Amino acid sequence: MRILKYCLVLACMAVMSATGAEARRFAVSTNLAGYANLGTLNAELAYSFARRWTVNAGVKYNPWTFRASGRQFQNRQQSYSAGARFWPWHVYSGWWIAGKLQYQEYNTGGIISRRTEEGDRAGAGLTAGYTYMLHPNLNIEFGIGLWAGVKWYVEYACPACGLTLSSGRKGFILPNDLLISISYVF
Amino acid sequence: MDKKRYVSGNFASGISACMVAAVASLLLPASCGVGSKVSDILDRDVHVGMSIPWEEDRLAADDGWEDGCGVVRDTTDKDRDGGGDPLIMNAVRETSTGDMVATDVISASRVVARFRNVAERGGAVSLEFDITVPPDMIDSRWKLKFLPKMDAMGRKSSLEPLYITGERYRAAQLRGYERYQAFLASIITDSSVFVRTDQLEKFLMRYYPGIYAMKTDSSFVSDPEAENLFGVSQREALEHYTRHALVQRNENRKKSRETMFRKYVKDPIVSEGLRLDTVLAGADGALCYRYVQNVRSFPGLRKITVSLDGEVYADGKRLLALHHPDSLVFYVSSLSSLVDDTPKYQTVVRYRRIYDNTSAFIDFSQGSAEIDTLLEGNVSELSRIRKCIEDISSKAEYVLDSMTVTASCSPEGDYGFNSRLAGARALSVLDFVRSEFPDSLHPRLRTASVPENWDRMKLLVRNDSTLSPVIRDKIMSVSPACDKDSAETALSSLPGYIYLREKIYPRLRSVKFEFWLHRPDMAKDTVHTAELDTAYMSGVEAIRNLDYRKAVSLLRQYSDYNSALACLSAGYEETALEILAGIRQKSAKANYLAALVMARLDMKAEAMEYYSRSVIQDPSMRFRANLDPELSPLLRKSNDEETYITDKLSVTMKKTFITGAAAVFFLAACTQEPRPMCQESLEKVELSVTVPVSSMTKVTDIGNENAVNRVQVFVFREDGSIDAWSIAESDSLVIDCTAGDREVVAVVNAPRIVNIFNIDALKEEVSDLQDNSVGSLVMSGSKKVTLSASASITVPVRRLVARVSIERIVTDFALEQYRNSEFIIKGIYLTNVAGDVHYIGDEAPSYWHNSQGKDLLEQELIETGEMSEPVVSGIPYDTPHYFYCCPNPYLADSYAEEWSPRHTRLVVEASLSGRICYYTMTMPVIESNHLYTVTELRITRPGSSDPEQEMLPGDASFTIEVEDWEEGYTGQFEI
Repeated sequence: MRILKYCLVLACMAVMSATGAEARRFAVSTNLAGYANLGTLNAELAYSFARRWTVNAGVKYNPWTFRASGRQFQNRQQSYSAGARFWPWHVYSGWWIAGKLQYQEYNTGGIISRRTEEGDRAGAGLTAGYTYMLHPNLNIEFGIGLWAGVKWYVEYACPACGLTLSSGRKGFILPNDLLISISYVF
Repeated sequence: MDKKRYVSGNFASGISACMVAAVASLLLPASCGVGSKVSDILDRDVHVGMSIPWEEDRLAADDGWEDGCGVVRDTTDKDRDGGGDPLIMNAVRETSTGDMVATDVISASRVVARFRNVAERGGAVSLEFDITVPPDMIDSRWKLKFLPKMDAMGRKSSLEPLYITGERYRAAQLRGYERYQAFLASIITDSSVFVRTDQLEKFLMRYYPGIYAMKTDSSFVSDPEAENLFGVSQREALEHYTRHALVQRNENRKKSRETMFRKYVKDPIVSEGLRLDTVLAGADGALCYRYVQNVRSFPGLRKITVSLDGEVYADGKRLLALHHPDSLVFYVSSLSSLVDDTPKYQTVVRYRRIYDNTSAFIDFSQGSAEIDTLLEGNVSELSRIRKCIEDISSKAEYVLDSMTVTASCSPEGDYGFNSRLAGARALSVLDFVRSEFPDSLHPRLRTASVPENWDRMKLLVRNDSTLSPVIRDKIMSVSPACDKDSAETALSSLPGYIYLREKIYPRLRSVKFEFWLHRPDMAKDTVHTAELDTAYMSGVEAIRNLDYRKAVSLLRQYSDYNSALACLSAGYEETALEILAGIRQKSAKANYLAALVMARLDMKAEAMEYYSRSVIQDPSMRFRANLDPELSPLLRKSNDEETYITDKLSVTMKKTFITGAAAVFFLAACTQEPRPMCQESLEKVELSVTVPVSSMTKVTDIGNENAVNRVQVFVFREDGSIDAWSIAESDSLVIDCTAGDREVVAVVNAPRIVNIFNIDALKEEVSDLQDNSVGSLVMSGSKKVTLSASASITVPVRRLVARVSIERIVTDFALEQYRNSEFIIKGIYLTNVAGDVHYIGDEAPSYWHNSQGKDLLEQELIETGEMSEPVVSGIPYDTPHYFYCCPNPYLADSYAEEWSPRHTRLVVEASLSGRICYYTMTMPVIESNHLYTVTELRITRPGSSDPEQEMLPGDASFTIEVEDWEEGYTGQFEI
């Protein structure tokens, strides 16, 4: 985790220290639908190095625990991902397909049932979507994706207790992204 | 096919179902349409009974007549049930497309000709026929097309078609057009629709910042090939953001316009080149269309055949082909067949000896006889002369005998010198042209000279308009008689001398060439030959070719029969009339033409007159009249008059058929004689008729009661038939009639009496009182005479009217009060006046004027009009008043309230102290040509209050004198 944080900082520094950054190569975006996911803060940075390719790195962070009248639910996570997108026409406009590697540390529970799962996931994901240009600097993106990988988990009986139901290492496949995001193109 | 399946469905379970189906099919043909043959037969049965051949007398005609022309009422084989029912019909292979097309020789419409005989007028023939479409053929879902075809002596052509469209058919057509319009509207014309401009713009703005940064810069920018940071050109961007599918779809639509039109609009609405296109909404009756077509005529056009083809369309496709089995035949008659073909010759005079001359103005320098051939004027003149000589020499029909060259000089200078100079000049000119002539001719080339051409100078001066008369006279007065030179000096001192020298003298220096030639092929000096008048013959040819304008221009000057025919055909009726009036002895054809002209000018009576003359001369003209529409209606109206002539002819003809050899003789006689009266050939005599009215004068005659302004004479034969008649605007005339016992009737001052073919007709004619006027009284008389040779007779005539007059009115009232009161005569008039009288014979009048004094209209013959003449007691009113009235033969008089014929009365209307009173003098029986004079009316008492009231003896006294008008009688009566 620390390594990833370090990478991210490096990436940002690389971005910021890039001299003579040509226009329209960088974009930052945030997924509005992600905020609907119990307020997950998210951001992604993208860099286009060719006409049809961008690389991106993103982070999601959800520290919130919701306690209301004896009930508690949360979908806490922090995930770090890095990937690349292929734009058939041109970066930052039109259709795209992306692949990424993602590491997620999560604690989810109490939403549907009291069972809570906590652990780490690591995997690769595939997303596809469409970007519509709203403004020379602004895009709106729509996308949908899923990822699969391995998870190390512990499952508890309730959000705030220690009764363990199961634990171990398993494979998983889950929907990952439902993107309705705004990106700003520099 | 659908129906068959339905049927087989019913057949599914055995015979019972079969029977049910069969019965059902028989019982429900219309709604189920089961069994196409059954419905077919049922339909045919219904219609076959309706095919009736029509006769055209069922049609009402206003003019012309209809001939039998094969009118057949047709059947139709329409499928009433509408689509889906298979209809079994005959089919033929259509030659043009190779399809099998349903066809039926269904004479589906009634075509009636209104005129079988048509006349060609002005180079065109007007054909009229009716096309009647029976109601069975008219269906709201169908369109009918009728195409008349015309065959004029082998020249075939199609006339304009008729379309009769049902309402639903037309609605379907319009729907098709609407759908096509909608299709056209869907073709995108704005190319910016094809590009996703919003995305393209943002892309360009994002990735080509330079361009937009330079937007406000005026320097040249915007290379569409410019690349962005990734090497994407703007053109590529444009390509990417274009909706190619939409573009393709649009292009496809544009290309398929034609096919889509054909798909949507199966049967386009034709608006040009057709005669009629009607949309019938719910028509239950037949439709009848009168087709009128003007056809250009050509020489030799005798017959035009019209046939009718038709087609029935449903749903845009042709359903049936119709063909009318009969065709109409029109026979064309033309006035050009009346043309007189006899060749016309004109006399041409040819002389053996010919003389020709020409002048040339050749410039010689002063005092010289040399011809300067370099001077421009000389060159052209000499070449002209040379050409002239060449022309004359080259003509084969002439031979040059001799030529003389005459040169003249102007007066200036010494006479002797001038004469030598002129001679030298003539010689030099002759030498110049000598080479043009053959050697044999050289001895006969002479010269002559006129030294000083004073005569010509005088002529030129006299005709010169620029000289003032004063100077002219002065010049003319200079006489060159004695000494030319001194005359010359006298002339030189005149003020106009400069003008003379500059303008007149050059024209005197001319050279004249005179040629004498003769025709070598003539022996006599002059020959008169008759040549065919080619202009006339080409005019006749033009009539035959129906080129009437050309014929008129060629023939007008000849003013003969053919010329009249040409004018008539070209529409110049007045000119034709003039020409015909100038022809003295008119042939039958000329009289016929005159009848045509009169008919065209709407003078029917005259037309009948000329026509009857024509028929008298040539009975076959009667048949010609049938062909000309101007005359045929007139003939039909006056059929009874015509039958008299035709009856004679037919009676004679009948006799020839009945009797034997005599019949043959008569027949021969008839066909040889130009007249139809075949009994004996009648000798023509000339009769001169006068009416001796001038000897019938009376002192008391006023105006011109014996004036003869017009006389009309009828000559009748013993049997009462008309022999001849004539009219003249004088008091005597000459009439051509035939010899024999004749009765001559003369009518004077009457309006033209026409259509008199026998004496009984004349006896029926009446003369109205209004035909008379002061100075023109109608008179009539008759005389029997036996004519053997030309003679002259006088026919005594008597006036038809009588004259009633009053000469004096005296008031002599017994009572004092009336004597002093005001007595004013307001009017004097006749009442109970007979309105008309027969020319011959005495019969009662048919109408009356001012009966019972009640309807005094303004008739100057029977009333004085408004008067206001005061009569003072003791002083008589002496002005005589005269009235004319028709004879009143009624013996019995009556004063009844209700009108009945009664005696004529003379009424004096007066106002006595403001009160109107009447003094009525009843006349006796009034006879024509008598005078009824009241010499004095003595009024003693106030009169009656009603003009029809009998006056009491004490009111007034008067006496009436009756005397014959003719006898010279002067006298006065004492009461």
